[in-house]
Amino acid sequence: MTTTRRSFLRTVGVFGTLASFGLFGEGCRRLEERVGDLAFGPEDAPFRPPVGTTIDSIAHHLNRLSFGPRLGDRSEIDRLGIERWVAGQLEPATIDDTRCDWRLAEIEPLAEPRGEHYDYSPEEMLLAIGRSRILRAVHSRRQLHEVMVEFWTDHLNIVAFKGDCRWVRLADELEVIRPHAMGRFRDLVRASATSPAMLVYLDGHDNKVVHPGDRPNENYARELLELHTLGVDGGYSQHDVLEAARCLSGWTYGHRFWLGRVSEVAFDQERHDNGAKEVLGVTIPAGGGKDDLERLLDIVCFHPSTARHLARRLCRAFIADPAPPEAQRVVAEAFTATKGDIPAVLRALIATPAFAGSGGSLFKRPFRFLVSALRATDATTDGGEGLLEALRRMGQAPSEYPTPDGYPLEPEPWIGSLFWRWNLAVALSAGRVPGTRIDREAFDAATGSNAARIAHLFGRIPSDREVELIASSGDPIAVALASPAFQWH
Amino acid sequence: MRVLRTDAIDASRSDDRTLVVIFLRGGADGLSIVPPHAMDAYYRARPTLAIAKREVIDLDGVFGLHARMKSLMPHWGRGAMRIVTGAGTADDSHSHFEAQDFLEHGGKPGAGWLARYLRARSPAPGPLGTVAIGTTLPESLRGAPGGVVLQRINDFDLAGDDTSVLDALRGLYDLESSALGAAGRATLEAERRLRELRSVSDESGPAYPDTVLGRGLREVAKLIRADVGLVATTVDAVGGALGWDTHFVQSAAIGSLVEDVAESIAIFLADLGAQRSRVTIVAMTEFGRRVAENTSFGTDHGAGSVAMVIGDGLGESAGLHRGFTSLEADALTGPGDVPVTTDLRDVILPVLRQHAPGSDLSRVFS
Repeated sequence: MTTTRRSFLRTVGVFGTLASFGLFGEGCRRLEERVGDLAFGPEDAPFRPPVGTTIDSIAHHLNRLSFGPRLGDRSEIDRLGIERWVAGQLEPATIDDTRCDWRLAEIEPLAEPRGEHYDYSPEEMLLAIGRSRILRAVHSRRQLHEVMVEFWTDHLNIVAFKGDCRWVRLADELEVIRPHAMGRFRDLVRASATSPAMLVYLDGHDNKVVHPGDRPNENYARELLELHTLGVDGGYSQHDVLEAARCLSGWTYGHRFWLGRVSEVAFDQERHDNGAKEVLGVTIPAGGGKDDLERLLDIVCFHPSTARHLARRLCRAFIADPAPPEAQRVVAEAFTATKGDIPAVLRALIATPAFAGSGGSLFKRPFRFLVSALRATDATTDGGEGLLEALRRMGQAPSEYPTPDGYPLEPEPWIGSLFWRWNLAVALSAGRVPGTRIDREAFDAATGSNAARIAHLFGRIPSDREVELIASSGDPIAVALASPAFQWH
Repeated sequence: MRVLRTDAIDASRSDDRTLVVIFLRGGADGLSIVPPHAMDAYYRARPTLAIAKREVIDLDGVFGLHARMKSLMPHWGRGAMRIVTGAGTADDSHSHFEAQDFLEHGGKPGAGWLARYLRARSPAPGPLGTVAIGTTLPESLRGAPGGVVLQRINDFDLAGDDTSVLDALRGLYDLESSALGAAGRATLEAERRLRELRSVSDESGPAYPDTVLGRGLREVAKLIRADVGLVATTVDAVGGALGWDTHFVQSAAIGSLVEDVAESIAIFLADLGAQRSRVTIVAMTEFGRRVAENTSFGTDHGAGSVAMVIGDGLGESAGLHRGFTSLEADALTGPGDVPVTTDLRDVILPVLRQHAPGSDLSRVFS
């Protein structure tokens, strides 16, 4: 057992926190106040409700390119102009996110090398993944980046329950998904291919060809072609899967204790099939060794089917499901022309008429439902177990989807768990979610009237009937969050 | 492909029958569940992970049941089990998602076979007619006329006794014209029924395995015993974190996987008591595993696997249906797979006919 250093540090940390904030239960609120006070200025620009009877352009952009409007987001976009706001979101590094980072400071594993993560329990690691995802989605100013983190997390899904994934799943998010979410597609897939968690999850670490006639483990190779790049209709065969698996043979992963924990990915020439391969009609000469991976990724990442597959998924996530064909074509062209430059691809997508005309037509998945509710109501939250349990009920807890295809994009699988959304809405409003609180008085004061409040939540002016039903329910916040209009974005 | 006799099932019973679909999601190895213990080729192809003869309960001289599934033997003995080897679908993608979708859609794109059954069935199912145990609606229920997803009945409690929030939601969802409106109304009705059920149900009863399947079947038994009109329910047997997708050191995983299935079903049937005769269980998977083991002491995606139907009234269709008679190289298909000799749709359809004898089920699978 590794009780000494870690336990000591954690004990110091807990006492330090208690000393700073007094009662533990108050810690969350106090932290909020301190973050607010510490030279960052007021969090939000002034509140201004939508005034259209349908979802207008500002509301639409906030719905799709962020996890939903906060109280001051409309007036901030008004001030900047939509184009400048979008341009900023497409270059997340230009946006200061110090306040969000501050909120993450107490999630220790985020700042540590992945080898150190083995000192934690799987439960602690799962909590760190969930908390950091929720807190970033709620508080980061780089909202489009966070939306893309969710997109790629599904696209390159890894469940945190298999073998060493319990410890290295977080590192996949920190080292693979986050650095490349708004980068280049091939860099993202390259990082994923040698990510410890991916090597464990899809058995790549055990893909080896040692003796003539050995069968490589095809698991990762198949998902690389089927899900990550070409798509299931991308025109590859069982033969291509096998050849790709041969290219990938020899990559291994292990961790050991050597002056601290070390977590290492390595290429073992002795386990690599060094013969010639042919993938999708392209010959990879014998003797390539570890460079076979690079050749394989060049073939699959820049394949036209990959551009189509990624365009389709992006259009489904950002525009409409099923993807509008014309928008999909334009996005695929941008993908090909820029060799998978993700911000450029998104810029093309946002410019399509289909994007502009699709307001309010996508069904919120549970994670977005939760985060948009917290953002809209200016909730205070620790992002912890209370919310993660609610996400499990609704069916979308971070890193808990069991199969490599990631949480579904389409609405149908989520409609049956509607009850749990209502349950969460009621619990949030009543302050019954541990670690999370909506200051109803402050929210009411900031939004002024029921009509303005509901307009803020719906992205449009509510009908008289909607106002009447919500206002007379005895719990307007809960009913507005549980209403049909708040389920769409 | 052989079509099973569909007239062998007694179709005279019909009232309030419940179909329990257990999905061994992840590609379950039929050769470990019902090992062909009399075939030498089986043991040659799988030096590290074939089920040893001493761990097989013989069924017909060639095939047997994995010994850790012995709790099902009483049902085999009373003629309440049909076991089909070489069961599968026409999908040959070797992809979980393609194969699962193909199976759950019943070979037709766009909606689930169970959804089409529920729509075709007469009378139409009530608000608690369809319950999916889990966190998301499975593909087989895509397009269903309503469906509730839950993990535990007792968690289904919104606002205690105060119904003013529910009344407001009823008004709002009545205004919604999309499928979401119908889903909201179905959820409200289910909430009402379950509120009644909660007030009478108790937590006693037999100890189920503490697994997704065991916990799920316990909730299904409660719903059936409470007579809420459950027509069809789905539950996954995922066997812990790793599930059936045994690419890696299969022998370490398979015993507890098959035991979970057998124990959960046996306890479920005992728990149902006299209601047992109203229930039919269908257990299946999207594909089997490759016959030969890989270098990770596991097996890769294959084709034919095994399907089981458990229930009263199977008549002459009970027993073991041999799909294949050899595992020698010339008897295999594709990259070395058990051939699919019985389409799963031909396993399911007779059960549906028995459960809904007056309904036109011609569009469920074709």
